[in-house]
Amino acid sequence: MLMDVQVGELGPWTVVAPIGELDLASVPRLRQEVLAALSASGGDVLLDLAAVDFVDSVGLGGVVAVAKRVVGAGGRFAVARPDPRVWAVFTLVGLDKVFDCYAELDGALTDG
Amino acid sequence: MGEVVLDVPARPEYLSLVRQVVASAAAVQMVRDERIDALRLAVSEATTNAIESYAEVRSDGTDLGSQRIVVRCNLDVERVEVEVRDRAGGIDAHTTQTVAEPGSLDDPNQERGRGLPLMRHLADQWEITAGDGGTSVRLVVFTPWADRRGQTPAP
Repeated sequence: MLMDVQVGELGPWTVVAPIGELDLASVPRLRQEVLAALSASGGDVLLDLAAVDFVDSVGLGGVVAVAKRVVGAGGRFAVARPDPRVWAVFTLVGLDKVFDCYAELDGALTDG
Repeated sequence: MGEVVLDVPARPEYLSLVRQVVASAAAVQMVRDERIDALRLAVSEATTNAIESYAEVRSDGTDLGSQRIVVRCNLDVERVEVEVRDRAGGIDAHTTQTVAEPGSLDDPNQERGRGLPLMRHLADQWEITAGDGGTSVRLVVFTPWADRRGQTPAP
């Protein structure tokens, strides 16, 4: 269950922070929030996974889909602060090699 | 042996409930946390497939009557077996014979197609059977007390 999606700014990044689980029930909401954030401010999106405690293949597909939209619009996409158990699922399907991942939000600032 | 049966509408908002019940049931049998995580994810994939099977049939205009998914947990000292059963027509048997490893998908940027590979990878044993108007996915994880001598590894 996705409880909420918080959107904020951090330097050049629009930070999108879903709270809860990423699955078939919540992915439409995540896509909607990222698209809204893109149309509002454009640019780079940092997906803050600190409050996500579960992801399945549909959740992963949702992250891939929003990443494609961001990169397709000329922005950068990265993830931050994943729970180790959530990141293990990204790793299992090889997505750890696809996305830049920051252990802390500040890491995205020093990098960018 | 204990049995827990959950009968839910085939809708995405019930996924979370299914995962919670299965994970809690597995915990009763003292299954290790890492294996509970694996089972939770595998069951999420199986239940998602069932929900999407109903959605596909619905889009054909077929009246399915009540669209429900039955999740049955058999709790044993040595193993926890979860069956996820729908009545949405049945998966293509060929699909199940060509399931890849989860990390070996040709395009890491693809958005779909990771469900079956994940189930195969995560469960100690798994099986999909189609028939009787639907699909049944059987997922097994072993408890720490499982005697695995003579067990064939998961396919």
